[in-house]
Amino acid sequence: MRDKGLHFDLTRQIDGFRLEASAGLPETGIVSISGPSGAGKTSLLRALCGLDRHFSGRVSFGETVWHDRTCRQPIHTRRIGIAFQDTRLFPHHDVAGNLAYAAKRVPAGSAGPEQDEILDLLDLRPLLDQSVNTLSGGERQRVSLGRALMSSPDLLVLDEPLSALDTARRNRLLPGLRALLGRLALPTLHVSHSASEVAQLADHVLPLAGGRTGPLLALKDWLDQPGRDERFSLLAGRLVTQDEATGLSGVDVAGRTLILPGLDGIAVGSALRLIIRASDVAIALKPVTGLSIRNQIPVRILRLKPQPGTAYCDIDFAWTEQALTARITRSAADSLGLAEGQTVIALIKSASLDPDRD
Amino acid sequence: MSATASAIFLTLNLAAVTTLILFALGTPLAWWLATTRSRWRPVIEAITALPLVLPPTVIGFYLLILLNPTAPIGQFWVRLTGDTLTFSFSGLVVASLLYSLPFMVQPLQTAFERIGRDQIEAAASLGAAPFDLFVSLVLPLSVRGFLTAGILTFIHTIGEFGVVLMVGGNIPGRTRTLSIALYDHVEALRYDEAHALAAGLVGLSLLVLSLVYWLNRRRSRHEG
Repeated sequence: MRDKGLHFDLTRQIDGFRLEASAGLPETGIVSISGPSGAGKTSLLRALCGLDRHFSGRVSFGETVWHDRTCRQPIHTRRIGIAFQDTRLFPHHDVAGNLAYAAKRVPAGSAGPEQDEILDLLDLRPLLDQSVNTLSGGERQRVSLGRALMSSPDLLVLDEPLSALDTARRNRLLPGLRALLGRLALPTLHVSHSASEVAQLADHVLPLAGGRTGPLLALKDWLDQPGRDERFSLLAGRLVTQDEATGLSGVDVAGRTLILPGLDGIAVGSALRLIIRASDVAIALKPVTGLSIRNQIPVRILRLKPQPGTAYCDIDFAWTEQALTARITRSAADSLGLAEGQTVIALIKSASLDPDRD
Repeated sequence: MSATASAIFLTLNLAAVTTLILFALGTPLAWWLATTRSRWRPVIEAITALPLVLPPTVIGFYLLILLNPTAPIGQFWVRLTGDTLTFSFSGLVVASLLYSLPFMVQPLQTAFERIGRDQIEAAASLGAAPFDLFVSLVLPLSVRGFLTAGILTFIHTIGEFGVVLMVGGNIPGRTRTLSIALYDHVEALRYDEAHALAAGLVGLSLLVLSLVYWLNRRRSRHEG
């Protein structure tokens, strides 16, 4: 039986390019479509939304068939909120008018985000009276995202929604956006070139390469794809302190506070996903003094995984509910005499929001 | 009413009726031309533009043949209204509709095409059904196109001669428009009266065109 959520199996020929995509997306949660440019991400989004109808196959959302051999449901009845990369704001309305255009067309009785919530999250209040011609690229994208949310959609589609925003504002906005979408249980389809945006937003990732979709992956599995030479851990945390003098932030992960640089501008209280490279985690048998690494966390070894054909050994730890992976050399693992079940100190050299950080 | 006044009234009446009807007919046609992907589009576009290149007398000649009371259309009209289409005000309106069609359709089509698919897709995704979308997005974004189309159609209808002469003849108070009256005056060597009419038409055209360009400038600066 089909469950709710977006299901599709389609083929689209565009000149020499062939798009073959199929997937069943979960009923709620954020799915990022990830792939190199030219992989067909925008073509896929357009087909799924009904902006492009010249393809064969089937698209359904919950019980409703959006597209099959005989049926083409018009886009204005699909209730998809689209935040376009190029924003597509209406030039004959100011910012408030653009938002109202969406709000006015919400069918009576449909549940959606509160207007105040959207205005606060995207910091739109100072822009309301402005003409859309005077906005910067980042401001336009925020308005476009706000307008899409304002339409109380059943499905939200984000096409590079924050590409024109600077990193600081994007980092500030993503935790709140994620929390809002989670609270609304609004299924969301997201496309971005930014691996950090994917890492901060997505629950699942749909890989797309050369016009073909791969299997739907949990975010953690996407981070650990064989294509990457690095292994990553994904830790859910909450920002608890901001020290402007030192530029360091405190992030609470499972009751322990990691002190990290590079998170300035993010509001205290924001939920974050920290990405930690396995090679940035070292191991000590007991707490170490006289060391530049500040973050020393006691963890329990779950598994030792020597990597065949390399000098390395990956070690999975349990840190209360969360999983952390370290990559050290096999000879180091041997000389420390590590064993599964043993408690050691993980030395975390750095963590970031972005798996692609150099 | 003097002969001149009656010619002026008749002409303005014809131009106004033609412009109003062409707004109603030209808008959907221009919208279709601006948005369709049909392979018939070039053919329809060519037919719409035909009055621009054909001598008015050619159009007038065919209309005369189509509209005369022994032809099916003319016969139908006589049965419907008791009046003929040829040599009547109704006939002039029909002829003007055809003759001025491109002046309505082309500015509108250009205005609609300038809006582009992007904005339309955005409005549709926000739940705007086609008619709603047209009223809430397309109309306000193509005000300038509507103004230009309306003014050009009006002024062009005022100035037509060949088609009117062929279809309507020269019946005072019924089909004698300004340009026909002017022709009459010249034929009869009444140059003073001809001057008055001709200068009046030149002045009016200049005034209206200046208004069009002034509006265009003002709006583009406003939007820019």
